[in-house]
Amino acid sequence: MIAAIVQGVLVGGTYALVACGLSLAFGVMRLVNIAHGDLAVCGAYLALMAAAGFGAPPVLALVLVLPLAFGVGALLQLTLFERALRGGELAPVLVTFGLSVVIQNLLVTGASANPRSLDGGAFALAGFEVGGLTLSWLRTAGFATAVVVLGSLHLLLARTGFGRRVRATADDPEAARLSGVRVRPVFACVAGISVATAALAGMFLGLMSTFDPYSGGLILIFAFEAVVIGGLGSLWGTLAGGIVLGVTQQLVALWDVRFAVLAVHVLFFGVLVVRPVRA
Amino acid sequence: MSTYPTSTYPTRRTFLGALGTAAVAGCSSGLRESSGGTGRSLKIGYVSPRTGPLAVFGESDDYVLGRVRAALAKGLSIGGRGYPVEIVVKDTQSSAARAAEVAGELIQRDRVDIVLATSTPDTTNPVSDQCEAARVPCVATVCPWEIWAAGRPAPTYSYLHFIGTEQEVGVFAGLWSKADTNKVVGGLWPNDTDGELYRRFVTAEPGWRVSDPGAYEDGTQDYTSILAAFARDDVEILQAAPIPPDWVTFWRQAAQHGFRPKIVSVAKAMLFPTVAKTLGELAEGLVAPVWWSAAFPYRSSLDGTTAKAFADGYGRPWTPPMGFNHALFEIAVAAFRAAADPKDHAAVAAAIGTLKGEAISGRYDFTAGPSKNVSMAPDLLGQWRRNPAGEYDLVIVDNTLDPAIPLQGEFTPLR
Repeated sequence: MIAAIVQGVLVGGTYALVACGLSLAFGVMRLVNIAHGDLAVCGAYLALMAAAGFGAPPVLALVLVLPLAFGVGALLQLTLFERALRGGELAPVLVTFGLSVVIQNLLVTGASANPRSLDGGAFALAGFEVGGLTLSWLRTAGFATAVVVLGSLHLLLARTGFGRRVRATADDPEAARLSGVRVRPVFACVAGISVATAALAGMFLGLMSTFDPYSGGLILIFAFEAVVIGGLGSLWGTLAGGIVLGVTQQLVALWDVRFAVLAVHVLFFGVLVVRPVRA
Repeated sequence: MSTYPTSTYPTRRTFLGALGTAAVAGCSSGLRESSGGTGRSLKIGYVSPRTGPLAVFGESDDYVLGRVRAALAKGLSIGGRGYPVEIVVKDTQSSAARAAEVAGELIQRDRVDIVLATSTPDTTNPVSDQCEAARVPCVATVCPWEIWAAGRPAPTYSYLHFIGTEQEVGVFAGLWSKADTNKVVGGLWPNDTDGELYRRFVTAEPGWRVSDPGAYEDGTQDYTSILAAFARDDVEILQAAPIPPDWVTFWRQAAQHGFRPKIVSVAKAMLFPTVAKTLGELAEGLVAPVWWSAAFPYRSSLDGTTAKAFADGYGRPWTPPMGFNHALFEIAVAAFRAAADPKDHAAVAAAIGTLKGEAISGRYDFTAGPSKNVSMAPDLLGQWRRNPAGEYDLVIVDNTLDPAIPLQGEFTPLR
């Protein structure tokens, strides 16, 4: 029972790590990014290429991947999302859905449909024991990364001048613009951060499991559920949402593995029915 | 200001619209032309998943089709009459609904003389059903015959050449009894048709105690509860039938938790060399079914290419479906030759049922299958081993069902 809860929290950390970029993009720009999972997969492929190209372990590849992902995110915002967001509620969903299809097909053409994975060496396969529980270093690291990323995003938004500008823009872009905030760079930065966290999450997923050009969809579903359960656009809520998902999955699995993933979806559905999306 | 009304300027939208219409018109005229010349040519339709989650099965299609097209470039001479051969290829996008749709297109629009379908029940079953309904001959492969034959009326126009799950479980059990274990088999079986079949047949196999934590969903990210159940039951033999990504997640997590049974036999996921490469040293010693490998001592009946040359020519790690996909064309050609008139659908369909022969994938025999219109392929077992070059090879360790295929090594338990 305790083991299940602890493991559930760790799994939840991974969900939250994927979800935080989604949550950020929605919270600030009201952008529902359907391509988030595919961008995470792109991050994993980039890490794979960097690791293969320079012979560096995937963690070092981050030095290269994260700035690149940030740049891609900013560019997407300036060229694509910005226009889509002006087109009403539905346009961003459709545009990012299209982007998702484009990314998947480009990846299939460029990298074939073979499942790939990142080699994390001995660290990724090692475990340690705490009070009779065997925990995986990799999953613990994933959870810690999620907490650090969410924590620093929170501090960034709550404590810095940049964060203030972001929050002002999120509340009312017009008013922020009138008060001298340059909205475009702010949004571009936020989109950049969102995609960079997606790439980071993609790398962790690549270390734990495999990815292929089509695995973005499943990643997105869990991330989406974490965001919705935790409250749309709330960062700590996203972490809570992820943990709730992970723990539910583990506890139900104790009873019957068959219903573990189903339970997560039912929970998501329940949350939507009982407490529809908070404005 | 211009004096022209703005509407006469072609906007981007109308331009693209016009372009689209032109493209559609172009395509459809192309189709008309291609379906016009069916008079004396033999048309083979080929349906496989080339994109989508099952794309790994169709990955080698371009190569396989290239080899077949080269071998059939001169056409076929049947009964003193020459027939050019044309192959029409359709992608199922890994969807059963789409598979049925493209099979319909092949039959109605392309008017093919035979349909070949490959890779997973999602392709073979809907395509076979379409062919039965339209009375067009069909040969399918890479789907356990139990899944293909179950729940369908006795087939007349569609045939299947592949292995069976029950037979495979029997071969696995034979291997398990070679090692000294406590006879506890842990089942990692997902909630899909394959998983259900393995659960049914392994549970029915006498002499083994089964630890079954339940059917998990494909895409599960965490297996700690399953690992805990296996540890509790002291599982020494693992039998799994997961999709590749799930297997990698599970087996890595098993390593993190120190779960290492004596024998690990993995159907489905460990068929592909790419998965072994992904796992790296964790792949060492895993047992997987072998229905085709580059080491098979068989040749193409079209041009005599050996399995080894066929696999080497690919330029990438070979995949098991390659051999069986190639064999489909060999069976189609054999059926055309055996039929009195290769353009007569009923005659060709009846002719497939009389076929007995050898293809690059090994022997096929449609006259004595376990079920109507089924030719059962033998199932061997291999163990993944690291070769001196640091790559992983599937070394054949059990050839009970086809001793003509040489053993390449001795089975060794993981611990």
